[in-house]
Amino acid sequence: MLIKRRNVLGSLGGMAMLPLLVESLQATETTDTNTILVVIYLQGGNDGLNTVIPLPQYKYYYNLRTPADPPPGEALAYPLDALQLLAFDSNPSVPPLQATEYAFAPPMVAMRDLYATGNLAVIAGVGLPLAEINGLSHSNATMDWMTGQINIGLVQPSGWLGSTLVNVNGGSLGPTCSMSGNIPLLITTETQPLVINPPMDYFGVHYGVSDDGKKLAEVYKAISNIPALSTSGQADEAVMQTALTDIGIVKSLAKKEKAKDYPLPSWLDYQLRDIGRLIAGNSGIRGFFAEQGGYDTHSAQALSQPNLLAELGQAIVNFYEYLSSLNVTKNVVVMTVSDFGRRPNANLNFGTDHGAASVSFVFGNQVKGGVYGTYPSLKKFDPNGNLKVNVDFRNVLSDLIVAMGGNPTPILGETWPSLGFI
Amino acid sequence: MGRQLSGFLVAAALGCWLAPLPKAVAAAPTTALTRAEVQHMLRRFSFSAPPQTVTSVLAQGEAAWLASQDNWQALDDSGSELETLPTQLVNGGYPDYNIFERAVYQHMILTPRQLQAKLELHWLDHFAVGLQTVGDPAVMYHYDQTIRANALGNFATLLEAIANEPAMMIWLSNNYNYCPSPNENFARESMQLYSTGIYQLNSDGSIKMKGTTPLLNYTQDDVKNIARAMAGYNVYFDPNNNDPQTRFSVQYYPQTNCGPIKYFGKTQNIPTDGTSLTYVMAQLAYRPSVAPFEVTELLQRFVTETPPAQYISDITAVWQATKYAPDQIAQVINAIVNHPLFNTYYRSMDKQPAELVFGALRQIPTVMQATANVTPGSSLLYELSNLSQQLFWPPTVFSFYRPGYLSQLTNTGSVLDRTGVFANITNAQQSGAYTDTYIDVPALRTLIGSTEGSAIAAYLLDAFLDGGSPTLQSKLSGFLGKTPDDNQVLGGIWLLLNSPDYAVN
Repeated sequence: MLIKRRNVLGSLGGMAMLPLLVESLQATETTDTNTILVVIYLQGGNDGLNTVIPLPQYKYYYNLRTPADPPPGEALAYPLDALQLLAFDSNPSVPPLQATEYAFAPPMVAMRDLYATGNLAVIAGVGLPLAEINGLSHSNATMDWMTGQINIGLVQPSGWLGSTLVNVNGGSLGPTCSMSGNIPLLITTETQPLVINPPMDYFGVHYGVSDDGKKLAEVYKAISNIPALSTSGQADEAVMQTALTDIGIVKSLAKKEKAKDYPLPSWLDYQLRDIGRLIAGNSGIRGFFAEQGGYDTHSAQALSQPNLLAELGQAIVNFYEYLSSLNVTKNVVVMTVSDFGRRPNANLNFGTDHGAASVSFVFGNQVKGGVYGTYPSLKKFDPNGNLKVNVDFRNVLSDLIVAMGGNPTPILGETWPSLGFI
Repeated sequence: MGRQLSGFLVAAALGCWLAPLPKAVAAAPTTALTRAEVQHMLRRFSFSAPPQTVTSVLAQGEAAWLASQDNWQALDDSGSELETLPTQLVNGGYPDYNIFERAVYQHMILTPRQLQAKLELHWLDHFAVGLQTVGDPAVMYHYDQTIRANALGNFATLLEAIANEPAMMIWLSNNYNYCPSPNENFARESMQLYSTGIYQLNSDGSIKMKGTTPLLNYTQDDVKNIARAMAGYNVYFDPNNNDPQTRFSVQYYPQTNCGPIKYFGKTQNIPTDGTSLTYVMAQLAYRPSVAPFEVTELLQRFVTETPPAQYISDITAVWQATKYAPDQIAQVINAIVNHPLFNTYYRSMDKQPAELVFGALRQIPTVMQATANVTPGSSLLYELSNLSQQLFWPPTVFSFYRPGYLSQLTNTGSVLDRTGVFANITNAQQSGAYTDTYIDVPALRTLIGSTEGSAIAAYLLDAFLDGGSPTLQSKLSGFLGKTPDDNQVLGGIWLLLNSPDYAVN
């Protein structure tokens, strides 16, 4: 069982015992039966059509993505022979050169490797339903994905992941954590989530100068306990107190597992490395948030999206290789979500504007690899001229909420059949 | 303390520490102001002010201060530019990002045109544009100058000017936007983010509904056709031209293959002389939802994240009545300050990171200097970056947070990060190789007229915390002792800057 850290801290009498505490936690049974979900938000609306390309519709794909002769390096349509190298079928065991159904974008070599493990689900044609009256807005689409609701307007509901974990005892650090430096709606509940701006090694109080550093620390501690003069100040004070409580645990976990050889070529790698360290340290956190920006590719898409996709796949591989080296991959599931897909046709900036259906990836030992959902037609579009959404995003969330031990119906407002990927 | 989420408490934060007297809308207050009311107003509509300025405004009245700020051209700003802009923006043939950013931050701290500077920050958030896409600080400098010049002016004029800025064209892809396959990016965001918002609004900010369905301000077809209407603009760069004023230019190519352009239910007669952007923006600026949309956002940034319907409605009426006035925005700000509800939001919302840093440096004697090499180290760039609000590097089109979600920036990570930022600021020394900003403790003692710890404590508490609680006063005085040395004073400043009450506006 997971030790309730807050209680243990109290009984041991404070921070001085933390190294021993972490040691003891390592020795206890881990969260073997509890799914840990890592959500990677691809901010801006990832172009699903240039992420997973439907090979039988290649002719239409090429025409849609070639509005004119592109400037050097800005061609959006990948050549068929390049796609064949990363081709895949619904059956993950089919090798690339024999596959005929789909292909990852050529830079996604790492993602193709993940698919070959049989633990990567590709959710095709996923997105917001037409009933969302403004699904092409970043704001609405992000709110929808983060809350599991549609048409929520100006209301501030809880995030679906936070709601799923609201009754979970995640230990003293709480059940959720954001590595993005702020609190995404996804993990909001009435409890304060742990937020870290990586690297986690620097999570702590940094003191100013004084004649006596010890005295400054003492007064700081005393001041942090003086009731603030306003309600807002008291809210700020509550966050500060939570942070001060978390410091000892986070720092102990950081010292315990330094992940010295973790490759860090991207900001996403920094975020996933520290998520991995918290998982390896048995922090008790069950829901993590990381993000990767830059997917709002209205112009010169070929100069940015391929790099982002390569970085994404490699970051997930780095994360799992690290967790595997510590033998803690069993419960960990990673999913990618994004605001929306892009329009089928490219514009004359050789970019793509806001659209509808996209793709999501779900990876983990519990995941049954393959392709789920029906890839949208590149000939017949939805009433707005966009790729038709064949898998409602709430259906994907429903399966994940169930996998985490939650009840999706009250969170999502309705019941969805299982897609079967987990 | 448990893991309580601050946002839920903030939403309930209508109670106030002092009981302010109500004021009449759009009229100078007839009752005496309290010092705390003046400090409240100066926190919201300037980057805070030192105690002596508070005393001065208390004596002259808020109306007089606002009037002087509205007439910003009359305020001598010559000492606020420490860099020689724009000539330094291209340094040896390469764009110099650091000089540009540091110059803007220093200006926001030093300028006597504080209301303009605060509105500059607001419009930089509202019309967020990022150097990561724009690429050249000379282009961004031009953009910032346009925002600053129009910050207290007329909204339609501001919107038209922004749309024609090369930085905006590059950021939202109206650069190289051609018919017949136009780029929809700017068309969509010019409505959703910059003028009308998504939903049709009543004058009190509530959403207009048809049954249970919100009414939209535009359709997808409107987006497509407005994109066509605004096609044909190109920004040209000459990277070999080291003159920051001429290395970019905008050219217009009339589009002949757009077909009939119909939006908002009408076929439009779009000009083909290079004024189509101005033409479309002039239409958008006066759409019915613009007033409550813009007013709500102004209230969310300057007063409360959850403005009540009556406040929105009252200010919307002022917006509409002044919509053709050249000083429309200044008049709206005056109405916001003079509204009976303004003072009830005393200390009711979090500070933005920029407000935390700039406010700290404005309230005590600080030395700022132009240096050629400022990163890494004790520089304003570094501190804003540490707090995730480098003003010209917004992460999304929503800038650093969406209006109404400011409390998401206050979290376990950020409250610890700011201890580091204030440590950097208080640790910075004149002799530091990379220091562009440091606190001048001898000047602080001279200003206070005393070396006594109790006098210094009283001054700092007045500056940062409107006096603070007796318990805090006692703790700080105890820390400073009878005659604190420089390091003790800096330690005391660090303590107050990290107190929860300093973090709220």
